[in-house]
Amino acid sequence: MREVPLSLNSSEFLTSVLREGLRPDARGGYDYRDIKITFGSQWGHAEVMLGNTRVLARVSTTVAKPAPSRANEGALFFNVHLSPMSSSKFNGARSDFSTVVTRLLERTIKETRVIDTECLCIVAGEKVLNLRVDITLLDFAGNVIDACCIAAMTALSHFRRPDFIVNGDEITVFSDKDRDPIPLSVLHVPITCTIGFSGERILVDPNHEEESVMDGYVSIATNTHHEICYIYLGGGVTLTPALVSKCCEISSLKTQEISGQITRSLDEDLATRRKAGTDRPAAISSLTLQEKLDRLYVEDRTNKREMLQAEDEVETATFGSITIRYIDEVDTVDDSGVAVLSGQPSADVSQTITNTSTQEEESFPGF
Amino acid sequence: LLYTIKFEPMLAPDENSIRVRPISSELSVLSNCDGSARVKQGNSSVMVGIWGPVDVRPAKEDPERCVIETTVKAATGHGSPLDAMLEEALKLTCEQMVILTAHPRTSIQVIAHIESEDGSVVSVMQNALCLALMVAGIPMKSMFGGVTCVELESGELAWDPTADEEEESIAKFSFVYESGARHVVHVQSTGESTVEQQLLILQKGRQVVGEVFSFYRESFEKLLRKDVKYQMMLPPIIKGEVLDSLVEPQG
Repeated sequence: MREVPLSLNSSEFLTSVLREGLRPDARGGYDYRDIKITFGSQWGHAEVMLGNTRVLARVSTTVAKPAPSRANEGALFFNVHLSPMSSSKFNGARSDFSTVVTRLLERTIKETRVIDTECLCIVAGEKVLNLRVDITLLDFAGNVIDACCIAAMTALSHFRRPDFIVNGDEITVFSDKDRDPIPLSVLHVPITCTIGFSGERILVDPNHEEESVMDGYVSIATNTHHEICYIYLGGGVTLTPALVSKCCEISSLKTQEISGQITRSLDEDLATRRKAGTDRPAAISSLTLQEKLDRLYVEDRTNKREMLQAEDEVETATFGSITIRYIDEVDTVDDSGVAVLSGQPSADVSQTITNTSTQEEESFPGF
Repeated sequence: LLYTIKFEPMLAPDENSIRVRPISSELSVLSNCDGSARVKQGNSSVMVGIWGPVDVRPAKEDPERCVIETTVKAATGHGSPLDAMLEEALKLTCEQMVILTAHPRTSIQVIAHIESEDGSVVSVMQNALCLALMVAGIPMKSMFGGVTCVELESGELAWDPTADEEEESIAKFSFVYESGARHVVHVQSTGESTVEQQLLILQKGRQVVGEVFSFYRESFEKLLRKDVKYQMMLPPIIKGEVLDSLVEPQG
């Protein structure tokens, strides 16, 4: 399927407009398009939309024998697939550009040691957990590099690896249902920033029209500690050192914003999962009825009274540091919330009432 | 254009009440290809993109009909023979349901990405394919929809199974029905089962696929609500205010 190139009229118009400092979608020279991050039901499933560019990232693990040169580390493998559905430019086979993106991700994420791969070692020299990041470009609208990097970092930060136990010669890798999976340890978060050039003008996050007429681009990966992780010059332009410095600063600023957005979206997703009870299904299913009721109590205080009245046999509710026993007489509740008992406690009451030190808690309902 | 619809399915009033997971779709999701649709049933999600009709290499072209090329990519990992099986399934369905002679010497390219797998991926893919073909405006004989059913060890049937149910099953059937007389267009089955059981599932599947077809209708009604040409075609709805304005002012 042939790609339809931009007409001469369009490309000349675009070039003249860009050289004047205007952008066809009315963005400023340093503005990114809207970034939307969504997650799937499984850990490590993230979809990122940068404007209309849509990238899907999936992280998965396999148990394998490690490479002899890195006997106590798990491997991290990237696979970038530019799907034919994204654009008529891509026909599904490995192209130069997909190799560029894969190599860029490897250099930015693997070689700067974003993931602590020693945690993935099960038995040194014998078995390790290998991570595989599958990135698929679903829709192409320019700036594939940034979208892929954001998707990869988000998916790796979201992913939880299976728990395992080594008992002498026996290795048990637990499924997600038996033991809750564990997040990866992400040591730093590098984000690329692609900057296009047209004449003297800088175009941060070029879209597909701008990409087809710009002179060249540079992709700079920085992390939140203002460290440069990778610089890739896309060819077509020569840059002065001052310009490179400026681009590095732009990248640093953008990384702060974008990694903040990634963190917020990860927190929102975790909150949604907690509410639905899907964040730790194995732990929750292994709780006793007592413990499940306790969780409900802490999370839903307003309904607590009705619930405990219904469950007459529940005399105590414990969760973490809160231990409460219901007794008949309480004299005073002092400032820290500790209740002072008047007479001798009955045989059932063996612990005093303690309170977690949160300022919101003013009084215990039921007293 | 993004339209997401959540469909809460009704339980069929039957002795074996059929539970189908909530189904949602997003039509015309991608900005470049001619037609695209993403269908989610429970946690299974498939995205299908269609380019068509487009040019094809002279070696491949057929002077009388359109050539269908399909690609299926799994969610994670390298490609496997299962992908080739799914590609074949999509190709067969297309060749049955698309009016191929309408576009000779061209090709229709179907690209399907399995975004997440949680059971009955085959039928989710077929549903997404049908919606994507409709969005792309490719002439079809009728709509088609897929349902999957598994037979568990106890003899129970589970419709629209999750990945766990599929693992525990002894037989799995995927049927694709066309939307007119609900004839079977495509069958894919694994495992051991009796002929009677298979025919029973086939018959019951016709009811279940009705839910899928009414969902297609809802999806498209929502998509077309924003289409001016379609709105103008609809008969005018006489509301109270309109009637009032037609009344001549008194005095």
